[in-house]
Amino acid sequence: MDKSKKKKEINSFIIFRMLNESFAINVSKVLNILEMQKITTVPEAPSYMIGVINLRGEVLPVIDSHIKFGIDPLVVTYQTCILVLDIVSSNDITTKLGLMVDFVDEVIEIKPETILPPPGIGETYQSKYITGMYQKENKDFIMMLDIDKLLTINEIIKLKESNIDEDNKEENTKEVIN
Amino acid sequence: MDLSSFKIKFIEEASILLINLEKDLLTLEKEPENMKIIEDVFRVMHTLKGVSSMYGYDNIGDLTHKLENIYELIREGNFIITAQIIDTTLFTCDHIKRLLEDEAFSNPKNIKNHEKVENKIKEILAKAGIKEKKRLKKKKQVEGQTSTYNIIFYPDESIITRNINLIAQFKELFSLGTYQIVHSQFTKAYDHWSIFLVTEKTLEDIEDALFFILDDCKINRIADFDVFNEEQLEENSQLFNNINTSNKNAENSSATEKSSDNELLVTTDIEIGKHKTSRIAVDSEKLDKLMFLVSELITTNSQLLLTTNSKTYDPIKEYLNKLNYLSNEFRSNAIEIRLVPVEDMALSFQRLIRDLSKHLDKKIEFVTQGTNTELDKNTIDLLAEPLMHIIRNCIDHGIQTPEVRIENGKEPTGIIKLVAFHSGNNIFIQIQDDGMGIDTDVIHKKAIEKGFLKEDEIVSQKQLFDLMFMPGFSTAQNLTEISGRGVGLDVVKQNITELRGEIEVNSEIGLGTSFTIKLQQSIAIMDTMLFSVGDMSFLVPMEDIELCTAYETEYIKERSLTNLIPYKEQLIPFVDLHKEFNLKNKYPKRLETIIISKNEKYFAIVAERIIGEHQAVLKNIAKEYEELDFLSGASVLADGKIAMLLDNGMLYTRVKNLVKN
Repeated sequence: MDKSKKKKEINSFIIFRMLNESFAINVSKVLNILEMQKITTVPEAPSYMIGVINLRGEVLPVIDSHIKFGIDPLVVTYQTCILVLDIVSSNDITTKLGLMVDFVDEVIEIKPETILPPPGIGETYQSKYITGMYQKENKDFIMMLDIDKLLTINEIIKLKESNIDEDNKEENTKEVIN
Repeated sequence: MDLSSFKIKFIEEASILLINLEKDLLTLEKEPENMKIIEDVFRVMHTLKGVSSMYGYDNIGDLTHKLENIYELIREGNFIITAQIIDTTLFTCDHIKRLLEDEAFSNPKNIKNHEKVENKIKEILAKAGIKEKKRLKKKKQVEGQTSTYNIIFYPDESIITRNINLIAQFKELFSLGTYQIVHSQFTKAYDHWSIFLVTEKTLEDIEDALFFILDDCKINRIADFDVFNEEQLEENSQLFNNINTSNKNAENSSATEKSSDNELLVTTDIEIGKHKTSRIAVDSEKLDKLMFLVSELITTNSQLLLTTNSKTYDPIKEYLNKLNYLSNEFRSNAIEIRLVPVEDMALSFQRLIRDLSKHLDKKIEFVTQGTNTELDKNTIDLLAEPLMHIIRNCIDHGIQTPEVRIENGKEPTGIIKLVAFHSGNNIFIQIQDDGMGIDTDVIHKKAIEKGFLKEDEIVSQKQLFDLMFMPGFSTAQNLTEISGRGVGLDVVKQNITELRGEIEVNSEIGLGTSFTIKLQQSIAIMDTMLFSVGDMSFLVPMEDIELCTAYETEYIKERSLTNLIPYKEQLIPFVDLHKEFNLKNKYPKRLETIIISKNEKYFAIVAERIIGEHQAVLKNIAKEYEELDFLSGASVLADGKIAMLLDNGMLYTRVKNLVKN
C-alpha cells in the first residue's frame, strides 16, 4: 500500500514520440493515457494551452507538446494521445495537466546506471528539461524529460511573456477540433 | 499508525482544546466568578499537559503544567482571576499554537516568545507564591489520608498482542493497599473488571503502577475513606449508592472512549456524557472527495437521462427517474454536510476585538446575531480573512475612544455587531459598528486627488462607497499598524468576488457603518443559463439575467461602431462574443442576446444561441487560466462537453472599455 515508497523505486518509463524523436517520462508521473477527444477551446488562452477536456467530471487543461517545444502545432492523427500528468511545481503544488503527444510507443525499464548525461549545446530542445539520454539496443536515443520542470506554472508564465507565435493559435485549435 | 500520524492526531486534538480554551477565557473575563468555566479551563490545561508530554512536546507540557497550578489555586478558592492571568493565559495559548508547528524552536522568534511567556507565568506564580506553600501543606495532609479508588479495567483485543504482563501490573497495584474485585456480570464472560482499592497512596502512584495498561483503565476516586470498613461505609452509604450507579455509566462509556481525564470525580463524568453532541469531526479532504463523487454522479445521471430520452415506454426509464430523484437528494444532503455555522469563526473575531481594543484604549463590545446560519466550510474559511479585515477597520477607524464617544453623546462602549441571515437563495453577513461613519466628502476629495473621479463628475453616495473598494484607494489619515496600508478593501472585495459574492457599504456620518456581504450558500452548485458562441459554450448566473432577446446580425454589425444598443429607453453597452473572442466561424443570421443586470448596471452579451437552463456543478478553472479574469469557473454539461462560466462583473469592465475605445 505504501505508494510513495513504490514511486521512488520505479524505473519504468513511458516512451512517446514527437516528430522523429523519442522522449521518456517516468511512469509514476503519468496518471492516465487518453485517446484523442474533443477539446474545448478557452478564449484568449496562450497558444500552447489548446483547451480543456472533461476528465471524469474534472476540468483538465491540455497542452500541445509541439507548441510547448517551439515547433509547429501538432497535427492530430488516429495515434494522437493525451497523457494525463501529475505535475509538482517548485512551490510543491500538484496539478494535473494533459499533454498532447504524437503517439505513445511503449513502456520500458531504464536502469539509472544506463542513463547517459544530457546532450550539449545546439540541440533543438532546450536541455534544461532533459535530465539524460538513453540508447536502446544501439538504436535511437531517447531523451529523458523532467516533466515537472517542463510544465510548471512558472515556466508557463515565462513562456507566455515571451509570447510565442500568437497567430498560430486559431488554425491550431481549429485543427484539433475538427 | 506510525509516530508521525499520532503527532498529527495530537496537533488536531490540541488545536481543538485551544479553541475551546480561548472561548472559555473570553467568557471568564466577563464572569470571573464562574466556577464552571474555571473548572473547564483547569481541565483543558490538565489534558493538554498530559497529551503534550506524552508526545514529547515537553515545552508545552511545562507551560501548561505551570498554568494548571495557577488555575488549581483559583479552583480551590485560594487565588482570584485577574486580568493579568487571563492575558497571560491567552498569550500562552497563542504561543502554544506556534509551538505546535515549531516544537524545535527553529524560528528564533519563538525562543524569545517562550522566554516571555515563562516570565509572565513566573510573575503570576510569584504573586501566588505565599498561597502556594499553603496549598502544599494541604496536599500533604491529603496524601496521608486513606481513600478508596475504583478502577475499571476494560481491555480491548489488542491487549493480547501487546504482550503485557498483566499479573505483574496488578501485583504492583494491589501492593498499594487492600482491594476487592467486583464481578457484576456472572452470566456472561468477563470483558471488564471493576476493582476497589483502599490505599493511602495518591492517584499518581496508582497511575504509575498501571502505567502500561493505563489506557485500558478508568480510575475514579470515589471516597475519602475506607469503603471496606463497614462503620464508615454505613455513614456514607448514600454516597456509595450514588457511586455504584454512576459507575455503571462510566463502564458503559469506557468501552468507546478511554478518557485521559483520570482525575475526574464521578459526577463530572456524567456531565461530560451530557455535553457530547452528535457532531463528528471529519477530515475536510474526505468531504471534498465526497462532493467530487457526488458531482460526478450528477453528471453521469444527466448523461444517462439524455441518452434514454426516447418517447417510447421503457421500464428502465422508471428506475432512471428514481435514480435521478435519489441522486438529487444525495447531492443536497452532501452539500448540507459541508455546512458549518457562522459561529465557528465568530470566536476568532471576539478575540481580535478584545486584543485590539485593549491595544488602542477603546471599549468595544462584540455582539452576534444569527450566527447559527450555515455556510459551506470552504466559504467560511475563505471569508474569515476579509471579515477580519473589515472588523479591524471598524475598530481602528470606526469606533472612537470612550472620551470622544461621550463628547458625541454616545455610550463610552462601542458596539461591533456581526449579523448573519438567510434571504432567498442567498446568505447575508453584515458587520455593523456604531462609530463615526464614513465621511463621503473625504472620499470625494480623495477620489479626485487620486484621479478616480473628475472634478465635476456627479456621483451617487453608493458610487462613492464603491470607490473605496478600488485598488490603491485608502482614506486613512494616519497609517497605523492595524489598518490603512493601502492594501485594504480592494483585497476584501477580491476575496469576496472569488467566493462569487458581493459586498456593499452603507454608512451614515456620526452613526456608524455597515458592510453587507452577499453570498451563495454553496459555491459548488449554481443555477445558470447556457448559451453557445461558435462551438464554445458559456454560462451566466441565472440571477444576473434581465432578459433574453435576439437581434439581426446586420443590426449588431451596424451598431458595432458605438458598441451601444438601446434598451429600456437608454443605451447600454454590448459585447459581441464572436468578435471579442476572435472566432473565425460564420455569423448566423440572428444573434440571440442576453441582457445582464449586475450591480444596477446593464449590458448585453451578444451570443449565438441560447440553449437553456443548466444547473451547474462548478469546477475551478485550472490555475493555468487564472489570468483570464472574465472566466470564473467551468462546468461539465450533460453531453460531457465543458462550458465556461462568465464573470459578469469583470465582463462589464471590459464592455465599458469597448465603449470608451
